[in-house]
Amino acid sequence: MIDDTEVQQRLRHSMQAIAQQATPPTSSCWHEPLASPVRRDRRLVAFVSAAVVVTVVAAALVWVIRPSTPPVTVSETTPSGPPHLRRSAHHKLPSPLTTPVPPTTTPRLSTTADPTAALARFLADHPDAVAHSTPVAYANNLKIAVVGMAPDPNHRAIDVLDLSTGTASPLATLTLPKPNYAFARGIPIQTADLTGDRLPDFLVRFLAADNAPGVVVSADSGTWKLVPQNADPTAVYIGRDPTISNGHLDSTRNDCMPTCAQGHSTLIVWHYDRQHNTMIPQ
Amino acid sequence: MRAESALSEAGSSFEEVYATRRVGLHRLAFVITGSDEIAEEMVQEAFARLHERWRTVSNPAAYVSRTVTNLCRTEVRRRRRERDSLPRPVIVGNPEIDETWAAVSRLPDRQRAVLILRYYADLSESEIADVLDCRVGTVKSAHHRALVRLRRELS
Repeated sequence: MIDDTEVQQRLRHSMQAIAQQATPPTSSCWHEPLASPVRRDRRLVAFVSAAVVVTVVAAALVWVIRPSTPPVTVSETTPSGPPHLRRSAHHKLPSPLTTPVPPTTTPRLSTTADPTAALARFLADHPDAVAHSTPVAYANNLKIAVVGMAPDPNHRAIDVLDLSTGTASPLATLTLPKPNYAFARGIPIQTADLTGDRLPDFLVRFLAADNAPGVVVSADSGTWKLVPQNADPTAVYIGRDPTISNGHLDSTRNDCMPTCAQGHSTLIVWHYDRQHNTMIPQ
Repeated sequence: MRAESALSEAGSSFEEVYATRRVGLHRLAFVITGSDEIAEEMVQEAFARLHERWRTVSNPAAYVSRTVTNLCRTEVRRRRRERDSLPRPVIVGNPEIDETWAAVSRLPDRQRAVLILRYYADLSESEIADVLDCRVGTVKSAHHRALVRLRRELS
């Protein structure tokens, strides 16, 4: 078994040897380049792509608002009742090109709301909010963030906040099981689609004795939850030191032989089991 | 503005930066991409961008290094995504080097970039974070994961 020092030496040696295989062009004078063929080709492709997109969008708009389409009336200027009920009684069924809106994910009417400011206000009003993600775009124009709440030494929770309207509205409060790890304030909460539903999930990190375990927060199953590793819903802490790298979750395992400080680490890659809504190591 | 008369804040002319950095950057780009053609194109593109921004760039050498690195990474990712032809790992003929390099080539993009910038370009972790536009902690974790994986593959 080789150690890190030997790996590092081999890396330096290999890279120097590889670099010597390069054959830079001999001319050392700068000639201001015309647009190279590759750059020209890319610009042409970009232009054609943009033209195609504009044409398709225009055709779709014409089709949607064609005269034979029943009128769609949305009473956004005269709201009455909660936001998800603001569509008027004249609202017709959506045309085939529009996506039906699930009842739990209503499009937001405010276009000027600042989710970052809303999150800042929430954090200022809640001194027990000790860790937080940045606002991220979610389905149906939602802007959400997760916040780690530590109201007392025996209670930890993660709040999922909707920031779309300019104020922080809780979507879910997820109580963390014991042990009551402290939130790792210095480690950013990472986001990525870990469950394959094309929506962001969150990795919240904590401080344990010698590593920083984490939990995955997701709504892939339809409700916000801490994703467990098996049928036990309290088996949510993933260790050691999980991180999201290139869109997937990985962590390390330490054989702690003879001690954890001197032990051998192994990389573990985690995958989401959609059938059982669990994270499984591979 | 003509390059001949342009001087950076550090006092170097564009042509001086080009003359002193071109070969080193070509080698760096070659290590990242494994191709002389791509390396030459990326270095030329980076200097073209530097030329356009010469008046506003305070550290031309750092700027062009960062640009070359990121252009190469983007190009490698693009070729992978489009299943375009990626250069085969360079074969030196020394089994130890070839084995190490093949293992490096299989690493995820960011981990490979961190190793190249650390062990070929001799950058510090904070400098790597600057080049890759990420946090130092991200560099550390990518570095750690890369070493763990290499140690496992090379054992």
